[in-house]
Amino acid sequence: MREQGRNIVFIYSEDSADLQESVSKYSADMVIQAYSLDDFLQRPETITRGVDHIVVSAPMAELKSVIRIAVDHKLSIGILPLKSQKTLARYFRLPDDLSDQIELALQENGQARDLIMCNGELVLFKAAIGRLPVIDVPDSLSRWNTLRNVLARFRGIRLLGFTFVTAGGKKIETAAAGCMIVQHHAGSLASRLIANDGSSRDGMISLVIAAPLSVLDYFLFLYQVLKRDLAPGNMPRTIGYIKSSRLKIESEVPLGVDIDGEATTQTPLECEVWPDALSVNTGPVTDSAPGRRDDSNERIDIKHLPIGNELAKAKKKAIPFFPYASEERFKDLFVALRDDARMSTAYVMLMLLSTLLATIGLYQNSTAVVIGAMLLAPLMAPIISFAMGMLRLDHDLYRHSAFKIVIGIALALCSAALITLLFPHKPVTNEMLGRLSPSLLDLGVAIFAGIAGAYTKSYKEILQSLAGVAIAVALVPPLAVAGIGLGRGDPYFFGQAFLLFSTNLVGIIVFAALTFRVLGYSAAIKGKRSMGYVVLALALITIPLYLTYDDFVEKIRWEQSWQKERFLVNGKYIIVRNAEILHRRDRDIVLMDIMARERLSRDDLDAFKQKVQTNFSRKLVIRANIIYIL
Amino acid sequence: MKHFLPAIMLLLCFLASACDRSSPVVPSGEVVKIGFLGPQQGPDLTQGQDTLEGVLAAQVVLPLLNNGDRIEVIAEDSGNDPDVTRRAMQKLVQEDGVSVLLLGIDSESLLQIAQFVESLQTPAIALIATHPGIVSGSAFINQLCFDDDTQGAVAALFVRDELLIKRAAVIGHPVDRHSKYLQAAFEKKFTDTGGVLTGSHSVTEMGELLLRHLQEQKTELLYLPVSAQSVLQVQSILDEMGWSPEIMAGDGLLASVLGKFPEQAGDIDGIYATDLFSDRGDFVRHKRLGRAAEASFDDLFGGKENTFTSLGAEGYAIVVHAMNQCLPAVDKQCIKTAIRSTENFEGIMAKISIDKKGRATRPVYVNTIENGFLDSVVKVY
Repeated sequence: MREQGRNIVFIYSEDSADLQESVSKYSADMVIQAYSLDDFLQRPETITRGVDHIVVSAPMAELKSVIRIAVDHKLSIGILPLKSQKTLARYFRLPDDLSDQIELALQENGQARDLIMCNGELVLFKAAIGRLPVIDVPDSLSRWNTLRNVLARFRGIRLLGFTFVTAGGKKIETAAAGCMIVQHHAGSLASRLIANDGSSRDGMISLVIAAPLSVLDYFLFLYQVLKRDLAPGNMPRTIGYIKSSRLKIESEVPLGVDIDGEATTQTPLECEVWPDALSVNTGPVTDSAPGRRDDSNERIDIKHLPIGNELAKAKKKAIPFFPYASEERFKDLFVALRDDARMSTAYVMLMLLSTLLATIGLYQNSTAVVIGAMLLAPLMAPIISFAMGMLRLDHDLYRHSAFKIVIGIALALCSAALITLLFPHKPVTNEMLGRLSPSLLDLGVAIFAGIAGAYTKSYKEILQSLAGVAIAVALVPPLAVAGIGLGRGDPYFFGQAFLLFSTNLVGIIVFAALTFRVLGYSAAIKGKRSMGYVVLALALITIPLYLTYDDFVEKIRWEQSWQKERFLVNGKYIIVRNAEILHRRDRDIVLMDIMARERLSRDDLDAFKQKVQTNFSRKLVIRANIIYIL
Repeated sequence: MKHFLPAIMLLLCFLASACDRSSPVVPSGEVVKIGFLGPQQGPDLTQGQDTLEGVLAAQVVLPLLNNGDRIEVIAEDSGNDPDVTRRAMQKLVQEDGVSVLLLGIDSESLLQIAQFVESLQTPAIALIATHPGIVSGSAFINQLCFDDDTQGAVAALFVRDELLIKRAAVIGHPVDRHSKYLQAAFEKKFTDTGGVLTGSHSVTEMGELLLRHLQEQKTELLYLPVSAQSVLQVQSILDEMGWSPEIMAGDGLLASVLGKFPEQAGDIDGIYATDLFSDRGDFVRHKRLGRAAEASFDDLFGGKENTFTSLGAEGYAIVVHAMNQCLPAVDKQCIKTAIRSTENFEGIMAKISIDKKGRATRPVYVNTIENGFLDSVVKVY
């Protein structure tokens, strides 16, 4: 491949002077003249006269000067990296072996490459501005080192105002911790994010912007990085991306700019591309396809960056723990929540129908009908709206939704009570009994339902899951049971069922509000007083729930252990099967199947009852189903 | 609001802890004495020592009566001989002036001196003896364990109604009255409920020949109300024969094996045994006394509690409970009556009642023995 008669100059630095001998071995096929770097830079015009190709081995700053001279004189260039210039070798895909490197550097057919110039400085790999947590970490670092590196840089991170102007005239005002021009599409996390977007001949500048809006976002991004879950084209929440043939970058205060690892200039920064300006001998090329070099190829992906009202919040001293998003960003959600808070005929009708359905289902002891009522119930929506209204101290939202909730509760209680009064028979079914012993577990259900409710409401694509949440938390059946309690004139019945409903209501409100907060719909809990009342209510509700939970655990233990308990009564052996205990206001009811070989007399049963009673401090009613072993 | 909730929580915690406290008893400087009598040498050494350790562990938990009188436990060796036992008992009552006796003596030994206890006019609790004859006709001896009538009936009914076994054989001890009584109680209940007795034998006949005979009779279960040594012997022959019928034994088997033949504990794995306690399973929930005694036992002696140590602790606690109703605790008649009025007393794991005739009512645990533990199968009230 080498051709005779080519005039080549070899420029060496102090560190690479010993390469002269190796390079000169190839002078049989071509004319190679060696010059020291100082000599070359003092009289470039003289030395390059009549020269076809330059081979250079020099430190980065001097190398760039030689490249500029080569570009000015339209000379191709071959590079022999110093031992310390591993990034350079990687960038130009140079071989590891010295003789292979020399052979490649001396070749004639150089590859065209774009050059990026920022404030007159040549950018070979990258130009970094401001604090760049995570994204400029070398891609090759181990997970542990990445974590250490990123955590070390996290301290004191804050967002600053930035203005970016593209070649197409687009002006973007945002806030960011820093940004990075990525020329070399390999090696750092930033380059991984844009790996498939562009080449070193596309005539474009790629700018990756880091804007962690919250500590939570920052660590979520870190998690993605550690999980190696960064796919090109799928920008994480903290990252923005601009691609343009020309970029102007301004920051609210002047920031230093590191070009290829050296502090070279400062903002404002103006960058432009010299398309195909450099002809360089490189190893196998994978990104050499020239792109369309016009403004239509410009790309702006800044949906995760703070804009508009969010800017003022974002440019605080330190980034907050939770993110914040403006109402404009989630306009659809807020419109939906306002709709949900507004009273409507449909709501009244659905509330009435679902309560009537639930009440009849409860009397029928039909789980299916009760579930149907849960699905029909429209109560979840205003509760979620109330949570958001309280969080953002949006008076309209929480007043309207509170009114809607109160009306819903009143309708449910009245209609269930009315049906009970009208019913000639008022059986107490298992479906009703199941709602008379609320415990901490029900609070657990309410908590997760609150989280799920707010979460599903926040994302349209999973909104259909709200039905599942409604079933899980089941707001209307406890209300219907409370109404039945009113109709029966039984305060215990009413109190227990209403406690269950209150648990659900308060649990959902608190945890839906917290979920919205975590998801960034409010910079802070603005309605602190209202939230305080709700949390206090939650704390107060927790006390009876805790006590009931204790009973519940005891009941489960008791029922389990009684599967193995036996009684020897007047010499007769009684085996207990399927014991169940129901706590009532003034007594405990034990439902059990008992098995016996011998016929049990009244005396036997009295003795049996007496023995069972010794395990209980409260008055006991035993309902035993006797099965004889024949 | 920031400080409001923690303040409420703290207040609630304080109230909760305050509710659980009773005012401490101030020592009066007076001493009341409880006598303990049990074998401290010979073949029954471990049962005597274990029972005494249980008593001493409970004494740490309950060192004072409610009037502040300090309780002193005076222990004497029963010596495996009725005469030695009588002399020791006499010393405790007449020289040491104990108000109550705790007897860590087995049924056979206790039956031999029951009349003498009566003559001392001092209330006594038989900690480990289960023979009904101990309390019948006695005004002063009380039982802490369920009796052999109950134990035998539970064993027979469990075998019939839970294991659904129809054919069983019994091997008892011809001289030991506890063993003989239990054998008879089992046999009666088992046959009354339609079970077929394939053999009723004495442990002196026991050998491969007898067991082969029982095997030929299609025996499904062997009931062995005999000593730990005899149970191990039967098991050994069965292993040699390659026959593995179900085996059921009486109370205290595991504690005896662990005490006397610890290296052979694995040989009794899988055996059913009636007992007063369980180590593992659904029923194993120690009451307040059980938890405190367990901790105290661990501090004093280390290691694992067993049936004998637990009975020692329960006996002591019942006596203290009775003495507290007769303060100052010098009136033996009052203490006797108080013991016999024990109603639903919370023992180590279950409630215990003692009736006017000195008989204890308490649950019988049917366990299987696994790796040195009693695994509960059923609990019979």
